[in-house]
Amino acid sequence: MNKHSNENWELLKTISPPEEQKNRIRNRLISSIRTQRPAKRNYRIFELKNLVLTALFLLISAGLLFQLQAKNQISDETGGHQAGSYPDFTWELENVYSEKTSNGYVFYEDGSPEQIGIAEKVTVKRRDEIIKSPGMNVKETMENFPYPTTLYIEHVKMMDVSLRYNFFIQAGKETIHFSFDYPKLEYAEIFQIIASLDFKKPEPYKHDGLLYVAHGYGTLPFPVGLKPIEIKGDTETYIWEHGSKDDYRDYIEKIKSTGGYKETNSDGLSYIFESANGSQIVKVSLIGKEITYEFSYPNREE
Amino acid sequence: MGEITDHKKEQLVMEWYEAYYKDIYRFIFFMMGDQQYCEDFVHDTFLRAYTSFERFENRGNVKTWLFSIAKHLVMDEIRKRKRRRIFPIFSSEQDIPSSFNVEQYIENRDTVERTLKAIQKLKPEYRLVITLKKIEECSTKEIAEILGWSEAKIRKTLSRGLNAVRKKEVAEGGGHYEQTF
Repeated sequence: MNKHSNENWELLKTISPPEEQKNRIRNRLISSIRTQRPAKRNYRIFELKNLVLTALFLLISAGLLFQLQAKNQISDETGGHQAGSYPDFTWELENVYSEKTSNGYVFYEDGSPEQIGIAEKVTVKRRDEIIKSPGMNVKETMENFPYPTTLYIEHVKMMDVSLRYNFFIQAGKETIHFSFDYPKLEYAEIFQIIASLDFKKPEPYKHDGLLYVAHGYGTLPFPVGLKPIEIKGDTETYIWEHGSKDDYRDYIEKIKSTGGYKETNSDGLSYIFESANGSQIVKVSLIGKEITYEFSYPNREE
Repeated sequence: MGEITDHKKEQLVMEWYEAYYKDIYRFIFFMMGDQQYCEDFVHDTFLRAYTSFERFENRGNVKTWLFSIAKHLVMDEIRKRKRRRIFPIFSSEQDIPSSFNVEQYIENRDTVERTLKAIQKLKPEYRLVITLKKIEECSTKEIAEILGWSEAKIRKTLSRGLNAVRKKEVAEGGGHYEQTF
């Protein structure tokens, strides 16, 4: 028995990564290490340079900032709405507001100084550069959204960001790049912003039915328009403000139609679905305007 | 000891890369269950070794230090995945990634895949200890250093982890595993 077991472990030890990947990572690593250095060196130079230049710079910057602040006091902090030489746009998510920057807009959540996203006008060249960055993984065309919209999900390994949702939106001749950080904003909130964008010119397309999206890499469709109430462990609760009984029925049919889930039980209010490979079970319940998802994973020990 | 130059630091880290690339890559692969993150995390492990070089005490063991950096990266990602409901590929119906050198044990492919799947279904703590002990052949003392646990805790976790692998293997009609070491 032990011999057999040892053979298994010996087999697993023989798994080794390919050489070409080693070379690729080596080149990337050398490049990353070397880009770390100039930053340090510049910092030292900056430290050693005479302080008069620094003071002068700060003085000029302060003056400019003061002037800018006076100029922008009226228009630049309106939640859900932005105007100016930039394409004028609004969205429907009241807890998110934006501030104008030299490149576009930065988004914040009420009560938090932390940046949660950006919007900027991009050229085709810039768009392609962003798309080609190494962390970009998933490309998806958003069906029936107000403007032609393509989503790219980017892996970000930061303490407080794991995924960055990059949307490229065609508003007339302009391409606007929006990016939002998950989990600073929940998936439902990110999609709510993009699905409610209105640039005025051109007018947004208004889809008759519900819009559906996937959260993260899951395949379960979620309707757009959910407001997160509590997302904790394997249970997620949202308020579906505009979800009627008909919408709920439509939603349940949508889940079934994906082919990724089969219904195993229901009582009219709650529906239990099992994923096609049996790895996930989800109970969806609608009580009043509150929609709850309870996930369980029968094949997972954790 | 005088301040080490950037050039010397780079040289050392690249030497470590040549020496431990395979170990770190395999450790990350067994922990995450897919190759998607391997390249990024191997890169990040060695880059972090470079940027926090000063924190590395020369009397320490380079191998355990690198494993502890990699362990922090993968455990962070596993916590994030849990929240995002992303699971390793081996919990689904997929094969060993094609770029791995599987030819040499193609006859045993089923066994390897089954065992990988079984390992992927374990708690991350079990996966950590089993990978370090059975695949990377670290000593209990080295694992204690990497994880910051007591040696007794490692023995207990390993025993329970192997037991869990064995149960999963038996449930799927697979092979046998020793329960202790």
